[in-house]
Amino acid sequence: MSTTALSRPPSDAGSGARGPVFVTTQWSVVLAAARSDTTAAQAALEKLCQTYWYPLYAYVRRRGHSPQDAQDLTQAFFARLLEHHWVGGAERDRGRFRTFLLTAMSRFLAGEWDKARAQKRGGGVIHVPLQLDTAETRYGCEPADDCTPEQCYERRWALTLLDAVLQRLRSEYERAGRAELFAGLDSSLVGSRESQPYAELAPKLDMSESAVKVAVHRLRKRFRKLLRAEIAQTMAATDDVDEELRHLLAVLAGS
Amino acid sequence: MDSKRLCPGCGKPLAANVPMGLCPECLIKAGFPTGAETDTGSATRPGFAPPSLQELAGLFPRLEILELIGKGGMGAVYKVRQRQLNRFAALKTLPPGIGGEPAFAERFTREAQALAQLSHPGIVTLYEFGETNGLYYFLMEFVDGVSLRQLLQTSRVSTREALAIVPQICDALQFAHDQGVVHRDIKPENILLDRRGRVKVADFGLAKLVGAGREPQPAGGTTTGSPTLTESGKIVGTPNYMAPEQVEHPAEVDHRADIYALGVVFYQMLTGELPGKRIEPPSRKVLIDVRLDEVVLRALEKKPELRYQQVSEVKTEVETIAATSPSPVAAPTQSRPAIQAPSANLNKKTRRGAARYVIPAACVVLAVLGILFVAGEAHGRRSLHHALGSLLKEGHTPVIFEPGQGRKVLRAQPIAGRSAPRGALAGQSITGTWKAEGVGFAPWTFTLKADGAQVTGTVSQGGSSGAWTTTLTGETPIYDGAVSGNQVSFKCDSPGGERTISFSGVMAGDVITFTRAVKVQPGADPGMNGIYGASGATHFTAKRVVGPGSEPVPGPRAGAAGPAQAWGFKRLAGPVTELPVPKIGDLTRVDRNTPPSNDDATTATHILKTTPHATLGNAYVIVTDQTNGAALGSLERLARFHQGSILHVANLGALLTAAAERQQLISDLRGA
Repeated sequence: MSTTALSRPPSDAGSGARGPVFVTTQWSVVLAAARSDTTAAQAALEKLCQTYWYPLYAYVRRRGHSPQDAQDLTQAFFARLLEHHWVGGAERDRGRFRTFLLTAMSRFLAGEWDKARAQKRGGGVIHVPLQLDTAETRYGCEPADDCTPEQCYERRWALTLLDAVLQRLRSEYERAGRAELFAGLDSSLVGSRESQPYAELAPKLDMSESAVKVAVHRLRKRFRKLLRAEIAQTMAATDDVDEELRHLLAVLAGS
Repeated sequence: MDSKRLCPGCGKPLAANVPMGLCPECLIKAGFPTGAETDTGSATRPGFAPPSLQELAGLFPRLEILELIGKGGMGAVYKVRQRQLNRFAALKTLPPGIGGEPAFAERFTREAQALAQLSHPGIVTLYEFGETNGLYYFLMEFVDGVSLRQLLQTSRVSTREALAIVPQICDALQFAHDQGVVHRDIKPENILLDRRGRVKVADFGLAKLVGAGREPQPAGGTTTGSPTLTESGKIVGTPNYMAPEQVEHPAEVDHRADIYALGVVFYQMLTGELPGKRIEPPSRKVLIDVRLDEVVLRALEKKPELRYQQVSEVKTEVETIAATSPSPVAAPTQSRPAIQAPSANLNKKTRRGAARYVIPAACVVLAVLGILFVAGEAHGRRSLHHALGSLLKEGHTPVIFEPGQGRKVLRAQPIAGRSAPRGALAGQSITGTWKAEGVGFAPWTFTLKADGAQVTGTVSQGGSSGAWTTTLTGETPIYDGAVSGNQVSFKCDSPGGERTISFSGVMAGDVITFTRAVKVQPGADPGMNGIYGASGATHFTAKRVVGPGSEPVPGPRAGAAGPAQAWGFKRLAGPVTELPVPKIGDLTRVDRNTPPSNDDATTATHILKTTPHATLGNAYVIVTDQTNGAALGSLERLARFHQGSILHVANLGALLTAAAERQQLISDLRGA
């Protein structure tokens, strides 16, 4: 059984653990272009917002706003953010998009932005589809917990990130015609490589055990690569992906 | 209602909204580079099936194939018996398919011949090599013992043992380097220890040989059929132990890469862990001689030119440290200063975490006033007690936390400092013994003498961190004393002289109402105003206890001869190191009862920046002149954060073997 080479997603820049190639991460592009509204920066920011808007919505809801208000606020926030490329203010949080977004939103909610001129729903033009109408359904499915809005945001961020990476991984396999392989092996992403039930997986997938081992190894490696790449996208050039991973782990472990 | 599913990886229940039904924590963990995961040693590479025993028996009629000992990226190892010679040997087979390249055979022969030249007691001897039926093999000396990997997995290697093992490795490596052979794959699996405790380094040069024979595979690779040794088909050695230049420019690697790998192994032996991305000096993780830090860190320099240039230099350093290391303070179980080879019976995995602490005199720790957080492990008790005992004898005074009671014991030691102009208050009616009370103060007594003040008593404070009590004893010179009418004033300095504390009072009969103000010298760090509480003026009243000219209240240090000394808290002389300060989220996570605050982290950072402190291996000993309750509370939370390394000393009682011992220790510490 042979595998074809999996195509690399376009955003797979700066994927190596040691590579100095973070210059082209989305967030660093945004930061670099803070003063001038370049197309690339705009595109990068849109991409980031498109992936990570939901944790912000959850944050706004957890802050006590009603679903309707939360939708309006989230909408308005992103519209303003993308329209005016408002990155300059958050000096302290420039390192990470995650923290920047939270700070910007909390300032927005505190009225530090010119709320009076905030675009009402249907008024502004956003290029980024936010699926706000489904946001509340999604939020309603969240397990109830008593975390603070910030904790809620952080946790949702981590889950959103994982979701995005898994989706991307799955679509890679699908494009290569290996959808069933992915479906059969996705559980092997958790736990150590040694503890995987290779003997059970082999007959299910109609592969030899050693072939399963290779496949799992490749899957895990690809996942790791994509995960790190995605994290790197949200960070500025010099930051440490491992540190962000540790933060995310702490966030998930604490809840 | 569905019952909660559990994650097969970590066993925790899965929430409903987890991505693709997978445990998010485990997914994140999968994102770390493989080096960060538990090093499982010779993990099996996928797709490589070692020859079966029968297969080998057919190929090697002159050998009795006994058992498969190990399997790794470099091939498989079997225990065999050479029939004619009637001795055991190790048969190592390289992965099949390795000889694909035509020039491989020639290279193999050349390399193997070079390896055969390595005749040294510390190097596993090569008997034979060859190829049969496409299978390349080596026949080597069989080492009856364990590998360092096995030792590390089952029980901690003690510092003493590490210091005995490393020089032997150095010997072997130096010998090989002199012959022009670089190992390139030094790791615990390749370091064997026989029953007599002798070190034997295995698999010399194999990395280069096997790596040279591999064809690069396309990224996709194939699965069964032809084995892939790594994903990309290139042998690169074991990542954790590889020197940076070995990763980046494998062709340009020289013998210094072995030194790096040795550094990693050494680090692992000492601390039980691999060095992380930012290397933490081993003496901060375990109780060892800080000089070993230098050796390890230098071996681990990223740039080869900054490392030791010869392995023999490492050996010299290590042997020197080992010979001059232990102090009389060491635990009774370790009274012999000479370093001996590890004991026999290594095959029996009887030692369980027997970390033996060496407390050398060279260690930075001599804490003088400390908040003592101590590591708890059953076998550490004795050495802990002895360490504390010796600290006391040398005149140092730790502070004990007893949570719940919030009680701390502090003793001010006289230190050299500004001496008072004699007789600043001579003959004044203010001299004598007074009892002071005021906001935040439980009664404490001070005696004003002609040239100094002596304080005894307790200072208490309630507060959000819990009530605490400090017992004080000390003397300080006072100066600028003036009494006019019913007004009195004088000054004294904080230790180090950064702050001047002024007292001014109004005397009415046998009561003085004092105002105390603190002035910080320009340029000095205001710190957390030690014994005097927060900056700014505070007030207290003092009532006369004993008439003027009376004898000073006797204290443990009363009547010190010589010039009056400034009092306060002795500073640590010598280099200090900083504790890693937890971030706010960490504090939250560890102690859920205390809400996280910026203050905690800030305070802790501030304290650690402005006060000298050092680590005694697993025991963090902080020297500080803080008695401010809030500050101490933050440090207490800091201590709790390091629960892996720190226990509240209230648990000290549980650590010590006998109640009497504990009592003795506590009373020692209190100076009773």
